[in-house]
Amino acid sequence: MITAKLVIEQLVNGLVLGCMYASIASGLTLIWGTMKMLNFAHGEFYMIGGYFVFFALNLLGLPGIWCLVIAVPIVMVLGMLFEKSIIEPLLGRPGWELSPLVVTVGASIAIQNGALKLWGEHIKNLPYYIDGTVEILGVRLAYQRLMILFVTAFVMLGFWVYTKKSRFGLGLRAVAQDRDAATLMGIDFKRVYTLTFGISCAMAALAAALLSPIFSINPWMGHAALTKGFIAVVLGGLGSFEGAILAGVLLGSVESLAVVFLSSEWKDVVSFSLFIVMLTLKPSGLFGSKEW
Amino acid sequence: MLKLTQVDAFYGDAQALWDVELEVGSGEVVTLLGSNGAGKSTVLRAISGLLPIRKGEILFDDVRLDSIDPFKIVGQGVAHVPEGRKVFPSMTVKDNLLAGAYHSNFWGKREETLGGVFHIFPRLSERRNQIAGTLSGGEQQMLAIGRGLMSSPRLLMLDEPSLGLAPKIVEMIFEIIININKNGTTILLNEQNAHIALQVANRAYVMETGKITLSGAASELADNAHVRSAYLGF
Repeated sequence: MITAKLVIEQLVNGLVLGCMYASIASGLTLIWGTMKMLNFAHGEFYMIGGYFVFFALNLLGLPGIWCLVIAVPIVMVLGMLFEKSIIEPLLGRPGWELSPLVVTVGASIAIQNGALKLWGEHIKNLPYYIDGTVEILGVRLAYQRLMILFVTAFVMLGFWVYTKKSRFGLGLRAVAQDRDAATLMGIDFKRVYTLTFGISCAMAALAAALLSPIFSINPWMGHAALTKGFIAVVLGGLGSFEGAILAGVLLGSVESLAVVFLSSEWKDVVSFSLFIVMLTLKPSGLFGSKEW
Repeated sequence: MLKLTQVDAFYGDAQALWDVELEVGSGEVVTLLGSNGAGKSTVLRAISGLLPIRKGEILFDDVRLDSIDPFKIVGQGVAHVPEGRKVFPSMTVKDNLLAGAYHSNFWGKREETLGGVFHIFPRLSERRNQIAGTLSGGEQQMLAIGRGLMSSPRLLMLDEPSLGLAPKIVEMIFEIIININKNGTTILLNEQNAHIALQVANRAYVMETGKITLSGAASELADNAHVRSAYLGF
């Protein structure tokens, strides 16, 4: 039976799921907005983020939240190394429209299979970072889920303010809007690209680190995350940070409500239908015309 | 101050500059004349490093500009106001100007320089919080010049500042350019409107299909038969 309590509980679950989509999508859209490329290996940085938290927990035996604090910056550095060694050499060569796509699809396959070989196909589980629940208005909410909401909101808002207020943010926006003009202002766009890529990977890793206790870790987890991330990016409007976050949260909520009102098998049908309707009615997405 | 020696540059396999020799002395206004596609913009892009050169050298004071990274050139005191203004369309006027002071040599003094630019362009001060993409063409040109001035350049390169602007606005922009020069900034000006360019400049170079074909004092070139028929329409 569908009760108001169930709907609210599912809505909270939807927001949590939406936070994951938003984190993934904002990283993708950030890369698209500045570098004008799609990163098909993005899901793999998400996956690596999950594994690194798992290893930190099991090898170092630190509390969960410290594992997250260690794993996320490591993935950020890995992302920067990836950009520097694999993406940067493609810059300035003919075929930029296609070359990063081919390279990142290849990297995605390689990383996924590397993870399978190294870490095996067994699904790994993480304990909750914080146990316990709180009851608000008769609805029982796990601290873990509330933490995901708060941390994601805090990080996204923090990054948004950072791009609007800091010197690096100014450089990032300048590069995104006109790379040549930015160069004339003394902005090293290659450095901006590397850092942007790193930040984007860190956001993916953060999403994985926060959600792994709820979902679980396996070598293929990046694939589904990437697909939903792309849907959110397109729904929000390619290149729009605000759009990606809003669309991510929207997508997660809609999926969770679909579980209540239809069934869990219909979840993806609903999200893809939403995607198709959006593409038909407003192909530029919610914030399509907005640039950085 | 600026000296180009035997500069060749290419777009892909197509040669765009042939043996370009050009000199700008401290305090001068030098203009490059020529029709569309003659290579005027390419010369400025070569100087500011956006288009790496294949042969020759570009010397600014004692620094080889052609051997340093493009994003470091503004730090040497060369500002390039590109063709088509190229303001950052989704940023506010103020953020556009601050971006002009991004280089670490100028970032610390940005508020002070900003005041100076607002003094030159009161219109930009009025519109400081407006999104640059919504400004009129003339205002965008002012913004592009103002952004260039945010690095307190010793050499200011202007690429077609009159393009697409009403005559009254062009006059106003050129008055400002003259004032900037009077305050000690050397100017290298690309301009299709030869009338106004030869009035403002001390010296001029004429470019045709990627080569410098004529050069001399602006007053002499204004009397030159070829320049008169090809660029001044007499």
